[in-house]
Order: sequence, then structure tokens, then C-alpha cells
Amino acid sequence: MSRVCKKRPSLCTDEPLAQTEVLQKLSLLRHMLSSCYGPFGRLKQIHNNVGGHVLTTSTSSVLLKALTFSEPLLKLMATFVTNHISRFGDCGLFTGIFCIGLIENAEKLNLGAAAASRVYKQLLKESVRYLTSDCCGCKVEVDFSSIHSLMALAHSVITSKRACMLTPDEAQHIISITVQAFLQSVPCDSSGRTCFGRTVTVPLQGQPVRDSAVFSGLLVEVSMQQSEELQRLRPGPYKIVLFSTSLSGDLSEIGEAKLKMHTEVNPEGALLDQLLLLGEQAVRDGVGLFACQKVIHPVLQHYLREHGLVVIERLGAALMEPFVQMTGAIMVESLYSPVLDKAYGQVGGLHVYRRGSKELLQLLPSGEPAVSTLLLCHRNETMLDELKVTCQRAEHILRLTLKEPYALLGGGCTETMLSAYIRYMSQSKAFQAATALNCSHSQFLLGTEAFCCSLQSMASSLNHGGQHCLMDLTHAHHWVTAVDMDSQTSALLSCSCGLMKDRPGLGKTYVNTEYRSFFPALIEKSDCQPRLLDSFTAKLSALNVAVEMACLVLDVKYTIKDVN
Amino acid sequence: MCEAEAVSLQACISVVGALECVVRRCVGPDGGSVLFTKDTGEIVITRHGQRILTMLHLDHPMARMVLECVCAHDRITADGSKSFILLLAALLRGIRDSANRRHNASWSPATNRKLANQLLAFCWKELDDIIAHDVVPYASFLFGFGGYRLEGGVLPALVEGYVAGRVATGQAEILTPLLCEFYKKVSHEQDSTTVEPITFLHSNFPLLYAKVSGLPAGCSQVVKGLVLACDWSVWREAEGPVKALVICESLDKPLVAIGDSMSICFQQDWLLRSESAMKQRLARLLCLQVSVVLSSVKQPECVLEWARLNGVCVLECCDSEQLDLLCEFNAAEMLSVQPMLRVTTLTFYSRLQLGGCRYAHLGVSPNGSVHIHTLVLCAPASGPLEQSVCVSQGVFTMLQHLCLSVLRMREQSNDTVSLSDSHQYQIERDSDSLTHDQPHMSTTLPDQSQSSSLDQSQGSIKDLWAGILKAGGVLPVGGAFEVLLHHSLLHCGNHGDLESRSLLAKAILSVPRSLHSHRPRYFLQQQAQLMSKLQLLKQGHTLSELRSGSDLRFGLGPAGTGSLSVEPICSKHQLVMSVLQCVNRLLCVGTILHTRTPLYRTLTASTEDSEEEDV
Repeated sequence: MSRVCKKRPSLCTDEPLAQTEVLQKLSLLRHMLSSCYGPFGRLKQIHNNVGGHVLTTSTSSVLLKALTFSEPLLKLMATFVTNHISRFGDCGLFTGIFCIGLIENAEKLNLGAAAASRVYKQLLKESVRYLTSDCCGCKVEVDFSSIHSLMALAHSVITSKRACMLTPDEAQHIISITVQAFLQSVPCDSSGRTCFGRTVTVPLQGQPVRDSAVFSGLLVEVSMQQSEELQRLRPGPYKIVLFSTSLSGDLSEIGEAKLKMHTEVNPEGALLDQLLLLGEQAVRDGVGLFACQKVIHPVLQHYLREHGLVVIERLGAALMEPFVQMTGAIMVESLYSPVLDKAYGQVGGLHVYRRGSKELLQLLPSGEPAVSTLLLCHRNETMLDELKVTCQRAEHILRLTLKEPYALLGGGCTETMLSAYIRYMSQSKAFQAATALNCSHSQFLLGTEAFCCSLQSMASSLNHGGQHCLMDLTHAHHWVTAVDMDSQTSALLSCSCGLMKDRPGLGKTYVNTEYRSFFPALIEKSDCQPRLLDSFTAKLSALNVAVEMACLVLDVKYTIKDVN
Repeated sequence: MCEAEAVSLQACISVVGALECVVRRCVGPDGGSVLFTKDTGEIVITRHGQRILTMLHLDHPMARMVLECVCAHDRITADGSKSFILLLAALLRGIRDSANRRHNASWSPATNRKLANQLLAFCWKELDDIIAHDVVPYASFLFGFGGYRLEGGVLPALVEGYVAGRVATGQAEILTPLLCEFYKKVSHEQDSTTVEPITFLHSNFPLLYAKVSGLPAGCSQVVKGLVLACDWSVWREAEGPVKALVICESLDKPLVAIGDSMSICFQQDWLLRSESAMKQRLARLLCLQVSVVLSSVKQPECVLEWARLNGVCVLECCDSEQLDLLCEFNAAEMLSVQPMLRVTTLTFYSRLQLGGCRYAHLGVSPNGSVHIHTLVLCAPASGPLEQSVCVSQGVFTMLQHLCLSVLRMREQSNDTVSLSDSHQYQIERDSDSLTHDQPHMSTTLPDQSQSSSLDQSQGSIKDLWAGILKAGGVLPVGGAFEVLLHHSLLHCGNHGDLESRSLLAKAILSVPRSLHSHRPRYFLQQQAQLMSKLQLLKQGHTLSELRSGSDLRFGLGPAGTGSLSVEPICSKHQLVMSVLQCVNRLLCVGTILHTRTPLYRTLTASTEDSEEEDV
């Protein structure tokens, strides 16, 4: 304590949302997020002005982690969004933009914070009820008998991540292998409690995207020298043994005990003898594959190879669990006792692949393929990282459908439809709702307006090229026209999600303009399939989180910032 | 070598005023919250009065003294720390005003102190009496025959009243039913008769909740059994009651200790020998037929391998306090002391997936009237999550304080009426109370007072909460207590000195006034209505007759749900007492000495400064 700095007083802000500076920062963040939104979103490059790594992304999780916020309110929002993404893996940008929209609209229309949050909460309840009810037009049931809706779900996740830099063909390929990997991870027999399969992702840099593929079983990298031996393998199945302790012959794992050596004893030699004992046992028991999480002593390796065993070392901790799941082996922790009989597992077969400079050994499962490997290839490292994250997200989204087998229409149609419904409902029951909420009639209507505007601008922020956004006045779907088409009579083939075909006499209005409220009619028996689908679970939670976050931010009356 | 700083009343007022300024924004359901950014970059968002004051890092010694008083008050009731500051500020201002009025006459700093002493004396002597005779009876009539019905019971109304002032509206709507459900499940029956579940929840709450961030608050739930915030290291599915072994230290620890005490020769068979000692130990464990091992520390790999081979589940790095609770609750059998091994029974065990994390879920068989459940609190981020945890803990502190104070009240009345079964004695007592209470309004309804005192004196009540209601333990939120106290201070009874009475009466109204600061007319209307009702009650009407007229809307819930929220009188009583004591402490300070030498902790101040008491 040579220097004692005097503590500086904290910075206090009264009513932060009433300050223009804070509002400006909010709207800046909204612009930033909404320009990333959707399949035509713009990429953001983030770099530090003293140099270093340059980041290119349009994903909310990466973007929000890379940015530092000076304003505590923004920091709060960023943590909300990142928490949501870490949970659901989708709809992060939606949450952020929608929440800021709600806050800004409440401020613009001069609703009190308490009234605004009450109205928002009520409308959220109404929305959730609509979305979960059967008469909801923007919800489709995921049909597991056809691959179409799964593809549509994966499509909207993968195409919205622009930083993967995929051409349409490549995107289609990635979508199909993602869906394939998902389908392989679903167990076939539904009797009793079944365990989900597992997909291991192996990134491979420098290969074309089209080389990406799904393999059943595990894919393990092996050294080049082994490849010749591997070429002449006998056909499976193989008995395997799996060690999780190091077989390098070091003494490091003994612990804190004191060691006193007799001069004539050679510790390394003693340990190596022990290792060779294990090897002898493996050969005697007819093991075909000898695997270890860590390093195997070269002498032992040589001994095992001589006897025709396949040796895999340095598996890594991440692969251990899928390995156990696939083979049924029990990890062996100690090298000082013989391996028990039940610790052995089985592999159906071995296969060698060569991809570029790498030699990959495929371990085929002996029973049902509970484990599969997704091999992802891309041209450079950053794109590959982004692609890896995207595929994992997509798989997560697909898994969520098993819990709730629904999907929402994509392309902004859900938003326009929901806003039309909310406007219709709140106009018809405004009076009762307002008295129940203990606020005035006009406050309730203003709150509804703010909520619906924020929803509709979500739909319009999907377009970045200056196209017109329209909404039809029957089903409340979302339509986009090119900028030079001056009237609605031009040939719009179908709405954004693709469920509806244009027909003459369908009234349309520009999004966020005045119109007479109506109940969005259900589409009966359409022969079209929706092209774009969003995850039901993720979007519902995103709506919840956005409204909760908006209420919380509106509730803040005082900020105190410690600047020490 | 210390600087001295004279303390004037004005200095006190400005210090407390600064605190009031921060706190006032957060009072009541329509208040807002305060967002803190710590120097570590961490963000805290809260409405909780005591937390706000603690987070402020107060420098001024007077402010810290106030904070100490607030914390002491908060520990008892977990309620009313914002009102504390408001009332304190109002009282100090009242003292200043009365001093100013007499400024021309004989005024000295000693006058303030005298006034403070008078107030404190009033607090010790008169306050209990006034509340017991003028406020509590009114409360019991308000909810008595023909009075207000609390739809859904007292507990939800109490919890709602408490929660509404501490979290945002949306969160409160979710938390209130959740906390009630939690209590009901823990106490197992709808209407508990004992205080045991509340006491249990109050003392063990930190072990009975799990936090999940990233999910909307609506996903919060109550689950049966105990949830431990760690995942199974070795997992095998099984059903039914199983034996579990609880370990507090690593199983190979004694082996290392042996290695320390005697030097081991590195020989061919040494490694094998240490293994075999371990094996013997594990084999002994297997004989116990346990299928679950719960360990508070990390176990060596060989234990895990042993568990994998023998189909035993292992949970490592559990919270040792939770394990202690489990053992205590199940009366676990102690096997050996060194290392401590305990064997207990679990009704079930499973994996629980909450948010992105996996938790271990253990079933515990009930003990007495307590059934262990765990509260799973969800929120989109850690800030609101902390808020929910803090509120939930506070609710049970508040409830416990209420229950204990009502029980104490009942015990006291039982003591005075020992052997209450003799009917004659009962009548005697009733007539006694009649004559005694003559000047107060309670006597105007002899029928009810008789029946309620009969119930009270019977000692055992069928339902704890109905008993509290009958005993007049609660009042509607939103200022009913303050208005009643104000009224009785000014108009009822003549004992106690007038000056402190009027001072307190004036100051106490500041609390509801700032609660309704955004609609002052509304507050005045409500006050007038309550007063007129009070008059009518005195004349012997019952509330059911009055209901046809204007309704008491004081306690209407924040969301206007139409349900009545209530708050405990005892917390409010405690609040007034704590504030009066705090005023006394503040005004007794004459000079602050800033010293450089560290002070001992036995003194009231924390580290650098001391308050020199100079009475």
C-alpha cells in the first residue's frame, strides 16, 4: 500500500431514459443489430484501433461479446441477449432489436414506465396465448414423416449467418448434411427411456465446402506412418480397450507421497515393465484396438503394432464420452491391475479416409449408430469457426422441435400476423383490459401501438435493399417488392415465408401504416409448403425475454456508476 | 492528531436527505429500480432498500451509522428499509422545524438531544400500548366477521404485498404464486398449524434454491427434493429408494498420510500394495450396498472407475452444507468418524436439466411437517435473478418475524389468563377488558371481541394464518398502518408528552405520502375514507354495512388485480422503534473525530472513523 488513491465519487444519473445521450446510444445499438438481421444482413467488422485481430461477423453472440459498452443499460441488455443465445442458440438479434424497439416506442409515445410495462406484460401474455393456441395462423406443425420442414428450419438458421460465406449451392449441401446428422442422432426404438445420439463435429481447414459430410461412428485423426498398416486390416468387429490415464511411463501421477529409491531399482524400467504387462494382456485377450486419452509410451506402441493391434493415442477429453457411448467400453483408470473383462468394448469396423493432407480413421459402431461425426470443411479458419458454430446451432434448433413439434413461419410473416392479431384483440377489448391493468384507456391503446410497431419493424428490418414491405389485409402475411415496382399490382409470386401465393384482389398495405384492424384469417388447405421456418421454442422465449428486458430497463430510475 | 468535525442537526438532515433522494425513487409498486455498475464491471439491479444503501459505499460516518441501523433493522424484519430512511428524514426535519419555531426562546443543541430522548422514552413506554390498543384491534375487525375477505388466503396477500415493492410488476406476478406454492409444498398441507415450516425455510433457504439464468422468469418452478448444483460424475439410472453414502474427504487421503509418515521404498510391489489398500477400502464400501456416493470433494480416478464397474453413482464436489442438511434431515447413520462416512436413504435420485446445466436431483423423505422442496428460480440474466433470490429469502424472514411475534403476543395473553378453561374466569377477563378498553374503539363490538379472545386464549389454533388474521397481525398495504397510527397518536389517549406524539404523527405520514407521490389526491381521498370508516366503526357498525359505500382501495394490488395485499403490523411497529432509536443515536453525536489509527471492531464504527459519543 505505497500509494493510496483517493476514491472518486460515483457517477449518478437520474432517470437515464429521459436523457437524449442514452437514447442515442440505444438507437445506435438498434441500427447496428438490425443491419445484421436476416439472410441479407450486413457483416460487421470489429477491430481495435491499436491493432490486433479483426473480426467479421453478423451473429449477435459474437458481435455482443466483442463490443464493450460504456452505458450500463446497454451492458445489461447485452448480457440478457447473450444469456438467451447461450440457452437457445437462435433469435438473439430478434431479442435485442425488439427490446430496444419497445423501449424507444414507449419513450416516444411518452407512456409512463409503470404503465408501459404493465401493458407490455399483458400483450405478451396475449401473444403467448395466441401462439400456443390452435387457431394460430403462424404456427405449423413439424411433420417428421417428411424432411421438408426440418430442411426449412435448418435453412433459416444457416442462411442467416452471412459470415459463413456460403454460396447457395454450398448452403444447400450444409443444410442437408446438418439435417442428416440430426436424423442419425435420433434413436430408432422408442421403447423405454432412450438416450439421444451424439454428433461430434470435426473441422477440417483448407478443403472445399462440398467435402463436408456425415459419417456414422467416430472419426479420429491418425498419423501417416500408420496408414499402411491400416490398409491391410482384417474385417471387424474388433475388441477394444480404452485408457483414460496416461500410458507414457511417467511418474507424475503418483501424488504427494515421498519416494525413496533403492539404488538398484530403475523406476522408468519398472513402469515400462508394468506397461508391457498391460500390452501382453491386451494381446492375450484378443484386443484389436488399443486407445488412450493421453500419450502411450513408444515402446508399448511398437509392441502392440507388432502384434497387429491398431493403436490410437491422444484422443482428448472431448472424444472420451462419445467413445464410451459408442463402444460400451469402460474407461480404465489404472495401469497397475489387469484390465477386467467387462471393461472391454466393441467396434463394428474400421475404415480409413484421406482428406487432403490428413488421414482419418473411421470407427464404425457395432450396434445402432448412436454416434455420428459431422466433418466440416471450409476454405479458411474464421469461416470454418463460424460454420462450426452455425451447424451446432442448427442442430440444437432441430432438437428443440422434438420437445415442441412446432415451427413458426419465417421471413417476417409471424411478426406481421402477430401484430395484426394483437391490434385486433386489444381494440376489441381495450376497455376491460385497461381497467384490469389499472391504467387509462388511451395508455393501453398507446402501449398496444408501441408493441405492434416494434413487431412490424422486426419484419421490415429483414430487408436491407430499400425494398417495400407490405402486409396483406386478409391473412396478414409479409410481402416484399423490389424498389422500382411502384404499385402492388406487380407480380409478387408468394409471401416471404412462401406459404401463400399472390392472387388478384388481395388488399395490401405498407408495413407500419394505418389500417383497419382485422383478425388474420387462417389459410385453409394450401398446397404450398413454407420455405422459411423459425424455431418455435426459441422465438417464444425470445419474445418473453425481450419484453422482460424492456420492462426491466424501463423500470430503472437511477443509475450509479463506480468509476474507480 | 485527529481532526474534529462538529455535527449539527443540519448536517444530519443533509446526509439522510441524500440517502432519501436515492431511495425515494424505489418506494412502492410504482417505484423504479436502481442500476449499479461496480468497479469490477459487474452490474447489479435492485429495488431492495438495504441493498441499495449497502452498495452505495457510504463515506460519511453519519451515513454509515444510519446504514448500520438500517441493517440491524433489516436483519430482524427484512422489511421496511426504504420506509426507514423516509421516516428518519421526516423525523429529523420535524425536529428541526420545531427547533426553529422555538429559536427565539431558549434554544441550544441540547434541546435537540432532549427531544430525541423524549422520543426514545415515548418509544419504550407508550408505543407498544398505542399499537396494541388502537391499531391491532382495528386490524382484526377489518378482517373479522363481515369484514374484508382475503381471496386465496392470508399468505398470498402477505407475499404479494411484500414482493410488489421489491421487484418489477411482471416479476412480482410470477414470484407471488411461486413462493406460496413453495411454502405449501414444503408444509405439505394447505393450512399448516405450526411455525416449523416457516422456521425451516427461513434458516435453510440458501440451500433450497437453484438459480438458472437465460430462461424467461415464467419457467421458474418448485421441484420435489433437493437440487445440487453439480452433475453426476458417474451416472447410472435406477429407481426406488436407495442407500447413499456421504463422504467429506477424498477416499485415498489416509493413504497419502501414511506415505508422509513412513518412507516408502520404491520396489516392484509398492505400487501394487497401495492399490490393494485402496481396494480393500472400496470392497468394504461395496458391502454396505450403497448405490450412490455423495462427496463434497473430488475423488481419485480409481474411485470413479470402481463406481463405473460396480454400477454405483458418484456425485463429486457437492455443497457440504447441503449434504449436512440431508444427513441431519434423514438422521443419517454415522459409520466412522475418521474419515467421516455417513449412510442415508434417498427416495429417488435423478439428473435434472435446467437451462444449459445439469443438476443432481435427490429425493428426501419428509421429516415431521417439513417436506424438502427446491425453488428453481429462472431469469434472463443474473441481475434480476439475484433480485428474485433476495426477495424470496426476505419473504421467509418477514413471515417468520410475523409468526413469532404473533405467537409471542398470544403467549403473553395466555400468561395473563392462565387456566383459561374456567368459564367464569373467562367472563371475568372479558368484562375486565371491557372496562379497561373503554376509551378505545375495540369495546364497541363486544360480541366479536369476546369470540376472538376466546379463540386466542385457547392456545392451539386450527390454522396458523387464520389465527394471525384474527389476532390482527396484518393490515392492508399502502399506508393504512401509518394513517391509523397518525390518528391514534393525535386523538386517542392523553398519556405521553404531546410534543413527541405530534412529531411522530406528522412524520409517519411521510411514508404513505411518498408511496403515492405520483397521485397525491388519491392518497388524501384514501386517508379521508379510512378515517370516516374508523369513525363509523367506533359507533358500532360492522364493515359489511359500510361496504355498500366507498370501498377501501388502499391495499389494491399493484397491477390492479383487485386482490387485497396486506403487510404485517409487527414489522411496521419494529420500524418505528428502530427509527426512533436511530434518531436518538444520531442526535447524541456531538463531534466526529477522524483518526488514523485503526479502531477495534468492538466500537460501532467500521475502520477509519469513529463516532465520539458526547451526550
